[in-house]
Amino acid sequence: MSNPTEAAHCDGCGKPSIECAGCRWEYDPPHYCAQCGVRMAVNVSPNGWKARCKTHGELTRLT
Amino acid sequence: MSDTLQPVQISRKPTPSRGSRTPLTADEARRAIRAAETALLDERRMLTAEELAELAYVPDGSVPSLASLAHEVRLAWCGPEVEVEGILSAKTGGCPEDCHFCSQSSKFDTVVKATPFLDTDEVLEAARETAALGASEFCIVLAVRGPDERTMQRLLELVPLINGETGLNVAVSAGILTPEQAKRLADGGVHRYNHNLETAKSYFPQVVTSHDWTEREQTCELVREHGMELCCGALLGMGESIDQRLELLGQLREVDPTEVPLNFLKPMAGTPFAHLPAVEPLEAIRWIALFRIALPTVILRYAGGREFTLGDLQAMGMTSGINALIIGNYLTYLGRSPQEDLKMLDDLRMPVGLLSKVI
Ligand code: SF4
Ligand SMILES: [Zn+2]
Ligand SMILES: [Zn+2]
Repeated sequence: MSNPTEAAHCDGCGKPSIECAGCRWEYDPPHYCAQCGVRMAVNVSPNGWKARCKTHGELTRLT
Repeated sequence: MSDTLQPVQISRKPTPSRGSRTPLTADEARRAIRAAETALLDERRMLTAEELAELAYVPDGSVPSLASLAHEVRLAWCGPEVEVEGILSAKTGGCPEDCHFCSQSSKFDTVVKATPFLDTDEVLEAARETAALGASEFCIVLAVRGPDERTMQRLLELVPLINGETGLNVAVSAGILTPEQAKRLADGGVHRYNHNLETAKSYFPQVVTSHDWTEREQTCELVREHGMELCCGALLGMGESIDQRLELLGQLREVDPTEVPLNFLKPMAGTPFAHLPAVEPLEAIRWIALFRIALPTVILRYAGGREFTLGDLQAMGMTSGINALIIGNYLTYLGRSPQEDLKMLDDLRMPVGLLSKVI
């Protein structure tokens, strides 16, 4: 879940954190950049995921 | 992407199972399960369509008994091994087809953004990750109607590389094939080809309009004709009736797959099926058991949606007929941790192993 105290946007739906406190299902990777709220290109692999925002770069996580 | 996309509410309301028969009484269910046990374990014969239909209507209280029979059938027909597989979406989103459950269709406004075919290094890295988890099979999945020539070449380059480097059997899922493509993939070392029927022929037009069920069936036939193992799965929970699930079981018997991945709908925001209710856990167990009882020889794999549908009952599926699982993450969403799955298998004393179809 995105943390509304740190993130400007919900990474599950892209809305400003003030409008969505975090709606991402625990098994979903983030789909929106928490900084700018724009939809990211996401690739999921067997043990992780990689999400790219055009402006804010790449986020990778091992699961 | 619009900003009107609403998050999917996880619904635990029971799925209304529509059927044409009256549920059996507990006594009738006990007799039907006993008769099925004699047929499958003593006479070692497949059940008739009528026998299967009866079992689909046992009351909820009899589902654990049905599951227990399915487990015995699996042990007797397939043995105790569990086949472990990793899957990778090597080309995500932007698919021209309109499968109503799929967040990768370009026809729907979903969270998935199309990304191009991954680099060879990225695919190899995912295969190494899969091998490290103890898997024997690695499936390269592409969101396409069917492979174009460029895709064929990439696949034919990747398959021997992955097999050579990791020792994994390589499976491919790249949509509808021509006879020539099926031959090239088989010659190129593809061990298993995945092409799901997804649902009964009579329900298919409610799920997909951009291609028809017969095209799917034809690809399944081509896969077998050219000597690849056929992996042909189902997706339950799309609004199909009990009778349509039984119809699908009959159709799966006809295409005769080596493996059947069993998926449960995880409603995806933005798709036409976003608001369908989840399959209830006990209902999922009933159908896992019925799939095993109907298809005693197949590798029956836990596939997408098990975390969502079964929650805490995931171990129960393993004693209801499942003998294979996808480990790690799925195509566009995550799975529970591989360590949890491996611990579950260890706790159940189920060895990880290689399976192929028992004839
Ligand atoms: S063909 Fe596959 S990727 Fe394309 S919409 Fe259907 S299920 Fe999704
Ligand atoms: Zn949100
Ligand atoms: Zn950003």
